[in-house]
Amino acid sequence: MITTVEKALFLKSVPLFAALPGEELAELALIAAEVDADAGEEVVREGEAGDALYLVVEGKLRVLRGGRELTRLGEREPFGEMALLDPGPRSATVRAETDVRLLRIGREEFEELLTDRPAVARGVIAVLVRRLRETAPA
Amino acid sequence: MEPRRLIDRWLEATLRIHPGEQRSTLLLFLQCLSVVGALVVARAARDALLLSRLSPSALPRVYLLAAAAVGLAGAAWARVGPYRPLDRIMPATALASALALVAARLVRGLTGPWLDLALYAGVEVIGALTLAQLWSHAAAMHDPRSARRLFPLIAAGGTLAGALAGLAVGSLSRRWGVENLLWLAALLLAAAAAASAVSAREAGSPLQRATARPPTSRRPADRHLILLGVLSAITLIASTLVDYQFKSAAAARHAGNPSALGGFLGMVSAGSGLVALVVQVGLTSRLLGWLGLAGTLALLPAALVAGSGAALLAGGMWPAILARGADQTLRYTTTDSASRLVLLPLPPPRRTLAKTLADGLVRPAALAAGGLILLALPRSWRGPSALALATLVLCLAWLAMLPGVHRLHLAALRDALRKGRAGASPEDGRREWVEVLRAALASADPAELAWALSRAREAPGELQADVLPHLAHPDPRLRTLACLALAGQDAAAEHLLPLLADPAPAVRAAALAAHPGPPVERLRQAAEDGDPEVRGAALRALLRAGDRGLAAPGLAALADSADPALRRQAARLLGPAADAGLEPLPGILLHDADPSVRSAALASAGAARTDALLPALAAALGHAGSWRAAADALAARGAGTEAVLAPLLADARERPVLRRRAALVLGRLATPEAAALLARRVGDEDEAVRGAVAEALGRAIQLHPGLPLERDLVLRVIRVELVLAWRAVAAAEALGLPEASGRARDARDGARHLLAAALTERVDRAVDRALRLVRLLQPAAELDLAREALADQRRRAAGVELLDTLLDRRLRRLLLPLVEQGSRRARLREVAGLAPLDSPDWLRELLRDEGAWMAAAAAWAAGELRRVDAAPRVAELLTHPVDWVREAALTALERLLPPAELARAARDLTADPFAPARERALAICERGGAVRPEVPG
Repeated sequence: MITTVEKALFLKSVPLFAALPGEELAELALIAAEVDADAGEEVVREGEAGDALYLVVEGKLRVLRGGRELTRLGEREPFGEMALLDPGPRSATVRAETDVRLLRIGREEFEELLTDRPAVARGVIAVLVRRLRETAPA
Repeated sequence: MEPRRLIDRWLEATLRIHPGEQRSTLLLFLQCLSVVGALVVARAARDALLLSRLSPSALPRVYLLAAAAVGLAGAAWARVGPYRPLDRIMPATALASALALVAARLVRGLTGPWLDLALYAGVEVIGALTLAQLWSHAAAMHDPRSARRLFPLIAAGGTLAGALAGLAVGSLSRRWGVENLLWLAALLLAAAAAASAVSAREAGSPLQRATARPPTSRRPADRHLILLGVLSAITLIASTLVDYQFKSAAAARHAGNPSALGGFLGMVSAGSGLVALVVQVGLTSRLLGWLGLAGTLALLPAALVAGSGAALLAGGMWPAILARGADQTLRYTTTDSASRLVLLPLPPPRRTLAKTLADGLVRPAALAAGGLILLALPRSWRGPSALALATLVLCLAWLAMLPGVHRLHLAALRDALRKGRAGASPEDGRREWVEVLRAALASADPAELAWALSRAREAPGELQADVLPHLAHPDPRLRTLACLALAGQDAAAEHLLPLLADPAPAVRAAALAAHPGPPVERLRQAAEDGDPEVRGAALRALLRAGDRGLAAPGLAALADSADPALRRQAARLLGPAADAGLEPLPGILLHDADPSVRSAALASAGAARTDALLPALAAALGHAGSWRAAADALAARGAGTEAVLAPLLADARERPVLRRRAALVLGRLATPEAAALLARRVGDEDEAVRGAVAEALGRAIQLHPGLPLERDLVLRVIRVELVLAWRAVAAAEALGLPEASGRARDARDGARHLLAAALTERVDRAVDRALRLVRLLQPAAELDLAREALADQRRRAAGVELLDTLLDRRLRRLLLPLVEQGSRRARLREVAGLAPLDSPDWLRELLRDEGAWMAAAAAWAAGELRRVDAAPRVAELLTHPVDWVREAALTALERLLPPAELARAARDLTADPFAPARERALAICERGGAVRPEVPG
C-alpha cells in the first residue's frame, strides 16, 4: 500500500501537476486510488469516453491504436491526463504488458477537488497556459 | 484626515478623478497642453511668415499642399503606427517635430518662399501626428468609463493652451519677432516629448495601439458613416473658407509687418482660447443637457450663418474675426464633445472606422476641396461678400443635415442599449435616451417592449405615463415588467392594486414588490398564496411595513419547508427580516444543504443594513461550500465589515483557512481600516496567512494608493521572509539534497528529492511574499511583471534582470542571489554574515516545521535516510492535525524503531479517523503482536 506522500511524489512527475505545491499534491493524492491490472488486461480502450487519469506505479503497459503499438509506458509515466478536463473519446488503447499497479484519479473527484482547492486549478491552468505559449506562433 | 486623503477626496468629488489616476491624468493634461500650445504658436508664426511673403491668393494652393502632406502622413501613420510601441514613437515624433521647427528657424532668411510653404504643411503634419498619438495613448490607458470621465479634463489642457499660447504669441511676436516664435513652439514640443515619455513609462509595458488596422474598403460603408463623413466634410470646407477670409483680411490689415500680423493672429487665438476655456469648463455639458445632441451640433453652423450674414450686410474686419473666433471656440468644445457622443453608441469597430476616416481621409480631403473651390472661383468671386455667401450656403446645408444625424444617432443608441453595449448609457445624452425608451414603449414588438420596460425604471418620473397602459397587457411577462418599472412610485399605487389579484403568480408577486404600501389584508392573503414567489413578495412587503407579527409565522413556515424553492424564498428574506428586527432569524438557512438556498441566504444577509447577521456571514467563511458566497456578501457590504473579520484574522488559534479567507475579504474591502488590520498581520507566524495578507494588502494598495502603511514594519517583514528563504537554502545544502529536480533512482533518493522540492517551494513562496511586500512600498508595475516572470523558466532571467534594476541596494543583496542561477554553495557565500543560517540539526528543525508538507517530507526523509536519532521528533508528528502527516510519520517510524517500540507508537493510531493511517497502524500492531483493539465503525 503506497502512502499519501509516496503518491504525491509520483503525481509530481505528471506534467499537468508539476507546478502544484506540496500541500495541493497531497490533497490530490488523497483522491488517487490504487488500481491493479493483470498482464493482458485493457486499462483503457480506444474510443470509449475518458473519465480518469492513470499513473504507472509498477509494471509496463503498451499503447495501441488500431492494433498498432505506438509506445510503451513504464514507471512514473502518466496516460489519459486530458480526460480529467475533457470527456473526449480515448485516442488509444492501453494494455498491461505485465501485472501493473496504477494510480487512478477520476474526473468527478478531480472536479470536486478543483472546487474546494482553487490552488490546484491555478496550478493546472498555469501548466496548460505554458504549453499554449510554447506552441503558439511567435 | 491626512492632507493627501483630503486632496484625493476633493479631486474625486469635484473633478471625478479617482485615487490612483491623478498622476496619469496630470501627465496627459500636460502633454495636451504642450502639444496644443506648440501648435497654436507654430500656426500663428507660419501664417504670419507666409502671408508676409505671399499674397492671400496663394492660400488655396497652400491648403492643397497641406492637405496632401497631412493625407500622406496619415496614411503612413495608419500603416506603421499600430505595429510600433507608442512609448517610443510618441516622444520621438514630438522631439523630431521640435528639431524640424528649430531647423526651419535656423535656415530662415537663407531660403526663398518654398520654406514658408513647407513650414505651413509641416505644422499641419506635426499637428495631425502628435494629436493622433496623444489620443491613441490616452485611449489605450483608459476604459470607456474612465475615458468619459477624464477625457474632457485632458482636453481642457488643450483649451487652456489655446488661450495662454495665444496671449503669449500676441506679446512675444512684437518683442522677439514672429520668426522667433518657432523657438517657443519647439520648446513646447520638447516638453510634450518629456511628458509623453514619462506618461508612457508609468503606464507600464510598451503600449500597443488600442485599435488594429482599420477595416478596409471592402467593407460596405453604411448610411450612418456616409452621413457623418459628408457632414464632417461640409464643416471642414466651411472652416477653410472662414480661415481664408480671416487670413486675407488680417494680411490686408497688417501688410508688410509680419510681427504685427503674428501678434494680431496670436491675440485672436488668445481671445478664442479664453472663450473656449469658459465654454469647455462651464457650458458644454449644460448645453448638451439643454439642447440635446442635434441642438449642440447646430451651434457652430448657426454662429457662422450669423457671421456670414453680418459680413454680407456690413462687411469689414469684425465679421471675419467673429466667424473665425466662433469656429475656433465652438469647434473644439461643443462640436467636438457632441461629435464624440454621436459616435459613442456605435460598435467599437465602426467607431474606429469613423474616427480613422474622419482624421485620415475626410479632413485632408475637405482641406483640399476647400482649396480647390477657392482656386476654381474666379477672382471676382473671392471677395469677402462672395465668400460669405458661399459660407452661408454651406452652413445652411450643414444645419439641414442635422435632423438626419439626430435620427441615425437615436437608432444607434437604441441598438446599443438593446445589445447592452459598453459605451452607451443614460449619462451620454439623457434626453435622447428617454426619447428612445418612449418610442420603444409604444412599440408593438414584444421583445422591444420588454427591453424598454426593463430599462424604464431608470427614468421613473419621466416614463410613468408610458408604462401604465402596459399593466393591462395580455402578456403576463410584460405585465410583470410593467409592475417592476413602476416600483416605489406612489402615484402608481392605485394602478397596481388590481394586479394583486392577477391570475399570473409572477404578476401578483411583481405587483406586491412594486406597490409602495399594499393593504394589510391583501398581504395576509398573499402570505398564504400557493406560489412561493407570491408568498415571498408578500412577506417582504410585510417586513418592509414593519409588521413582524404577521411576517414571522409565514417566514418560519417557508424556512422549515422540505421544498428548496420555498426555503430559497425564505433565504432571500433573511436580510429584510434582520433589518426589520425579526427574532429569531432563520439563520439555519446559511448552512442549508441546498447550495442555491445557502447562496440566496448569504447574499441576502450581505445586503442587510443591520449588522446582526455579520457574525454568521463571517463564520460561513469557514465552510467549503459557502465561503465564496460569504466572501462576496461581506465584501459587498463594504466599510463596517472589518470589525467582524478582525478577530478572525488576529486569532492564531483559528483555522488557517478561515484566517486566509478573512484576509481575502479585507483585501477586497480595501478601506484604511482593512489595510491597517492586514498590516498588523504581515508578520504572522503562519506562512499561508502571511501570503494571503501580503496578497490582500497589495490588492488594497493598488485600489487605493493613498492607504497608510508602516514602512519600517513592512521592511522588517520583508527581511524575515528573505531570511526564511535563505534558511531553506542552507538546510538543503547542509543535508546534501539534490540541487536540480530529476528522476529518483530509489526510495532513498526519492525522499531526498521530495525534501529538496519542499525546501525549494519554501524559497519560492518566501520570495513571492517578499516581492509582494516590496510592491507595497515601491508601486512600480514592473515589480509585478518581474515576480510573475520568476515562475516561468523561459522568462526567469529577464525577471531577475528587471529586479536588479528595480530593487534598492540592501534588498538586492539579500534577494537576488535567491533567484539567480548558480550553485547553492556559491549563492550562500554571497550572503554569509547577512543572516543567521546555522542550525544544530536541520532535519530535526524541519520536523518541527509549521508547514504540514515540510514536516511530512522531513519525516519521510528521516525514515528513508535511517535517521534513528530523529525518531523522537518524528513520533511527535503522530498527533499532527493533518492526516497524511500522521501517516508519513508512522511510515517513517517503521524504518526507525524496533518492533516493540513501533507497536507501542502505532497503538494510538489504530482509532485514527484517517483510514490509511489507521490501517497501517493496525497492520503494525498485528505484526508486533500487540492486542488488537476494537476497530471503530
